Amino acid sequence: MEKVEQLLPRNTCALIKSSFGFKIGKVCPYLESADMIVGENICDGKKKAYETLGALVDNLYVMDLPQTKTDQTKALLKAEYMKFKAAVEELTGVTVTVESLKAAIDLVNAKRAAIHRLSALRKADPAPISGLDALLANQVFFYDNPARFTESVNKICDELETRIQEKTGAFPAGTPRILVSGCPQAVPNWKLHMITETAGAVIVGEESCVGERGTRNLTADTGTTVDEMMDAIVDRYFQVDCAIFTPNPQRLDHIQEMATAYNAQGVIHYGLQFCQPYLMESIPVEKALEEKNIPCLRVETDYGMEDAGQLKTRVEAFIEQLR
Amino acid sequence: MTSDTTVVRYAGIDIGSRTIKLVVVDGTGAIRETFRSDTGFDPMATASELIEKAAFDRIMATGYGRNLFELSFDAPTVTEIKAHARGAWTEFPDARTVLDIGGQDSKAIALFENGRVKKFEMNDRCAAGTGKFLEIMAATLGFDLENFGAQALAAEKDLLISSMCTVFAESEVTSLIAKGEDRKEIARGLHTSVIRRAAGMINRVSSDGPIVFTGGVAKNPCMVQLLAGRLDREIRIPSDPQLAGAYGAALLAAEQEKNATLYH
Repeated sequence: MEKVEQLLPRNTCALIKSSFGFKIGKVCPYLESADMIVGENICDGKKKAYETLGALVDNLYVMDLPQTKTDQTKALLKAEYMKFKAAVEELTGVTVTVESLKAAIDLVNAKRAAIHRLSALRKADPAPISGLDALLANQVFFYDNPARFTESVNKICDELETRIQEKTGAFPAGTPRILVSGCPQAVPNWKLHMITETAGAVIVGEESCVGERGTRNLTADTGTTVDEMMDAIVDRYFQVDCAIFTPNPQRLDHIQEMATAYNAQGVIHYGLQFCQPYLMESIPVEKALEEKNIPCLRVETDYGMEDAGQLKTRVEAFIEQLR
Repeated sequence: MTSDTTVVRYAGIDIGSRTIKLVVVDGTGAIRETFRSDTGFDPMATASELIEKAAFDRIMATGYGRNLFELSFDAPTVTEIKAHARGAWTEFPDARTVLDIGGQDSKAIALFENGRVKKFEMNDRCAAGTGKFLEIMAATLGFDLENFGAQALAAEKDLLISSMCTVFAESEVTSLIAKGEDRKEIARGLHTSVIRRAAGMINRVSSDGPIVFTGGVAKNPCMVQLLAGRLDREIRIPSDPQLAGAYGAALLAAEQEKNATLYH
């Protein structure tokens, strides 16, 4: 952390600092063995951090992403994706064809479909799987071999179906159910789930980019040319209601839909310190939920454990509120 | 530890960062005994001493030491948020807002009509704007904590203190002293800075109606007066604000037993 803070200001979100920690500590084998590291200009923090990361590695490729949803920005994203496709083709010496792109779309859609299956099973009471384990599956989504991931998640789902039939849960029936919404929780961030599920509630869903926001939409498989398929990939991206988009009203609707669908009694809004987009949205989110009489707890934290005691008290008090 | 009368007694123990409070109530909720002691460095030893002195049948723990107490004494626990809400609401049943400022944390709580918690805000991480902040500042200015509020009230004006962090505020106070400023005015400014923060928390949970002010800091007259002035709302102080959490926990212990009996 001290070494990271020589490169980045202390007041940088923990997700970004942690990614630098992976690089500096050589903790992540993927970062070390990759031929190309792709960064996306998602938020201001990441955008500027890539300028610093660029000095540490010689294979960083930065892709620009739009922050509004219009025809012009769609064209911009398409151009960025086409440029990226060309860069990958040059790096690998492999040309993207109709067949290869279709196969890749199917492969990743299958991975998303497996996660959809897992998510649907979390609607059961008693919850057949802890939120912590389900979060881990959503985290592994990002780095496992896609085919192996799909197979593994489907295996978990088979087991969970048996559990549901036998009414055995990770927690007893009637345990207060909580939806988590907000910043992505990337490895090694299990803090909120750990605290919540040891305080007497179960987390039944994540409205997060590491979770349903990121995986809920499939890429349409209607394209017959590479160009049409690239359009479909762009269209899928435009359905994501991440807080970096402005305005972003769909996210408010989706949180309420999820709370109903997963039968959650309350929502914890998870904000990483210094993550302006989500911290800003947390206020309208709380207001929208209150109007629907859905209790909401806004937490703002980082990866450190110095606030764990107070966070636990808050989460416990919130669970008392739900009982 | 067990009461020898036929009346069942319920205790609530609030293990705070600075003080441990114990309240014993009977089945009607009337307070029978109260105890308090400095937490010290071994809270469970202090808690043991208190419960040895008291007579009760059931106990519920709250406060930051509740989980340790649960492990040591196998007692149920409740968060200080619910405990303060219950204690305050029982004494003032028409109250819908509670402000608790304790030794190391502060919280604003909105209640439903039935006393249940509707919403709450709590300070995070550090002890900014809490009893600990006032305690350190009183020492820096050479006031007794007991007289700190009265001295601050005697000031003719506020001096603006902008830091909420105890460490930064202490440097700010030191530089004000070096400038020759009146220490009562500095004290008043410090009280105002704590109230600004508390008012912000209250405004996020409720906008009108009386406020019940609990926790040790509610014993400070300057805090009470400044809060009333800033929010233009009626402030109600429990007969012993420091005991509100322990009292709430005792009432909840009684309630839990009634519910348990109902289910059997």
